[in-house]
Amino acid sequence: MTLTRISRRTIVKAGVGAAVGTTALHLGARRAPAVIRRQGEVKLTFAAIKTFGPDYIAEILGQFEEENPGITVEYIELPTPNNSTEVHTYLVNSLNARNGEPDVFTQDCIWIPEFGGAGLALPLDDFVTDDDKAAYFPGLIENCTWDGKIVAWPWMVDGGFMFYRKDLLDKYSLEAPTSWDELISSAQQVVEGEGNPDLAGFLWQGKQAEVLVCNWVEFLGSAGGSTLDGTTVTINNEAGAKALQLMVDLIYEARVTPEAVLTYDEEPSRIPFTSGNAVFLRNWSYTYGLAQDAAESSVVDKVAYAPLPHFEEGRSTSCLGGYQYGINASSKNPEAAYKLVQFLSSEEIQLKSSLSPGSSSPTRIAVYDAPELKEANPFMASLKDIFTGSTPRPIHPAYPQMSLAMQSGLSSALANQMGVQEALDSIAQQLTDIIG
Amino acid sequence: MQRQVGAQGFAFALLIPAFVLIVGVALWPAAQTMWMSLHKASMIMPGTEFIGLQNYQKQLGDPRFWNAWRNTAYFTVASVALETLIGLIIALVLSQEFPLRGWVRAAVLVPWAIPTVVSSRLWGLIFNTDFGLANYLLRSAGIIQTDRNWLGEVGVALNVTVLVDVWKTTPFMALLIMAGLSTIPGDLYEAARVDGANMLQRFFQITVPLLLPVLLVSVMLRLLDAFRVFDVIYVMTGGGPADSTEVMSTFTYKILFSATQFGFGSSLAGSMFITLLAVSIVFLYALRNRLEVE
Repeated sequence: MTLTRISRRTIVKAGVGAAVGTTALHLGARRAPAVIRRQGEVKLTFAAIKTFGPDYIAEILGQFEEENPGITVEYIELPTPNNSTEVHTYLVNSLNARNGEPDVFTQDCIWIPEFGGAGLALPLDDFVTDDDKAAYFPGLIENCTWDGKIVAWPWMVDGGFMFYRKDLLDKYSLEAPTSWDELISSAQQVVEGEGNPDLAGFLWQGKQAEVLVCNWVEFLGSAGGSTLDGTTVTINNEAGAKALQLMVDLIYEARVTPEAVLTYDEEPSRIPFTSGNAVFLRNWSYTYGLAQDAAESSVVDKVAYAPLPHFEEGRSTSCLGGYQYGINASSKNPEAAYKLVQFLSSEEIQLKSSLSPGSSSPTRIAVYDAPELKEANPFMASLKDIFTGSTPRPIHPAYPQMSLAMQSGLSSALANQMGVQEALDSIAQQLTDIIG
Repeated sequence: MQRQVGAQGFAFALLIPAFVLIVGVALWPAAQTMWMSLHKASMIMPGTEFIGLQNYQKQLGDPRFWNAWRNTAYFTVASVALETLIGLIIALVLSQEFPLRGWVRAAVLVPWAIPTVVSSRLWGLIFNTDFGLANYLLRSAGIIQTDRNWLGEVGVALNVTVLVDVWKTTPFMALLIMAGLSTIPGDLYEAARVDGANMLQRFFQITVPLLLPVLLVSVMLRLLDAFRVFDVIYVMTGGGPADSTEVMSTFTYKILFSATQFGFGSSLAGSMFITLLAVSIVFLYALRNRLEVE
């Protein structure tokens, strides 16, 4: 196995430089799928993001090569998920080159319709069986399907949670809040009682970036709303206004959220929390492992988690996140590539890779019931129910375009540049144009 | 005659590698982008369609385009003006004789030597609201009472990125201006001094006019560079909050690589190209006249 590291910078630079190259290639003729080479050694390339958890990919690729003599894997390490724009750029560039590299890649769940719709990801219907599909969370198989075809295969799932300081809530005899009003009053009570000027009430991610849309999906769902209903844009209805008004009020009215969240993506919000400077935090599951790691955290054993709060008319919503496997439609060795995907997503590997704290969450339901997992990583085992009901972002090939419009409009409301209704109407107009 | 043609042919032959290189890495891609900008093309839609100037028309009606345009113009003018002014002052100081001048000159160049991505990250930490040095120092000095949200406040964030660009690029300006100053013959100043010209007169009558060609070239280089600003903004704010730091390059990048609208994105790149070409022509024309006068 060989390892190549792709840094954020190289991708951005290559991206800007290759702007022209990509478009030129795009005009070129599409190559017919190559014939599988039977003889000799098969060399696969595998481009995977680096997870926030412990590194394990290099190790298991070694196991794969041992079990499959004749296949070697070159591992291209991509940046962590908070740099998803760079990962997207890398995939757009390399898949569009249609030279079969990388054979297997990992993609954010929101790009599946885009790559599937563009014919850049190989449909896997000839490979996977109904039994295979039944082993995963049903929402994920749906997420991996575009236009009736399976165009991706589940790797890991993630969702947004509410993390909180159990010790502080206990001190003031408070329970974990289930409604937004409770969260606001608890946060205010604790912050006031502690008298620590550095202590924030509730942190989340308000930077004009993809993660803002994830936060939005959760606030919106908690008010009973949705971005799209089929192909109708419903983002600017009453529920939408209620959700966005709450986000604005958390900052400027209730003042439990500092204005600094406008610059926060995941890590900038996680660091104050695990340094003991926030009562509540909305973030992905990796937070728990880091909060329990004494090297990173000053709040070991003081943190608990729960589903995010909601309004009366909505339900607690967790935004479906995670990365899934895909096979390059131009791969010269699709069968070997599928073998790799099969190996990576096997129960054995999923279990093995989820045992240490902070690792990413498995997508096979059975793994959550494995006694080894319950013993080694009880936090992970307890997440099964949360992932079963997580809510996806709008599923559409033009999602990245829709996301840019949402990021801009939501950020305008949060920065007080636009009223809540005005911002939502502007987003709705853009979304309608994009879909229409 | 015969020999002359042969020599000329040889000279042309010598130019071919450079010509091929320029065509291959500059003209051809630029032409490709311009051609692409006349098409409707995106990754999610197979095939491309020739639509003439519609992408450019679409830009004119797109508030995101005008927003990015305004921010870019502001960034360019503000940063280049400050860099020229401060660079000129630094250059004048550093052209004087004083002990350890070589060391100071080298030290001034440090910001320019740091890769922009690295220095943008550093400045991002300095302007972090929670644990940034800027808030700490200003609060300790009693200048601000509560922490400022430097990169999260509309109207402030763009100025912070200008500041970082000025910090980084002023040494470059100073260096170019210093080179210009060193070409001004010392006896001109001596003659002026003998004639009784004071320092200000010497500066405006000798330094400024003789420095002007160098200054114009430097300003042009910086204008072209600042207009294409990408890394400082991409690293520090990503265009936010509320699009208030979105510039042409970051906007184009998002349209090309996030939204994968290759046609529209190319037309944005095309607009930047045309603008910069126009700026270059104006400057080169101004310079040519100047040089001919001399």
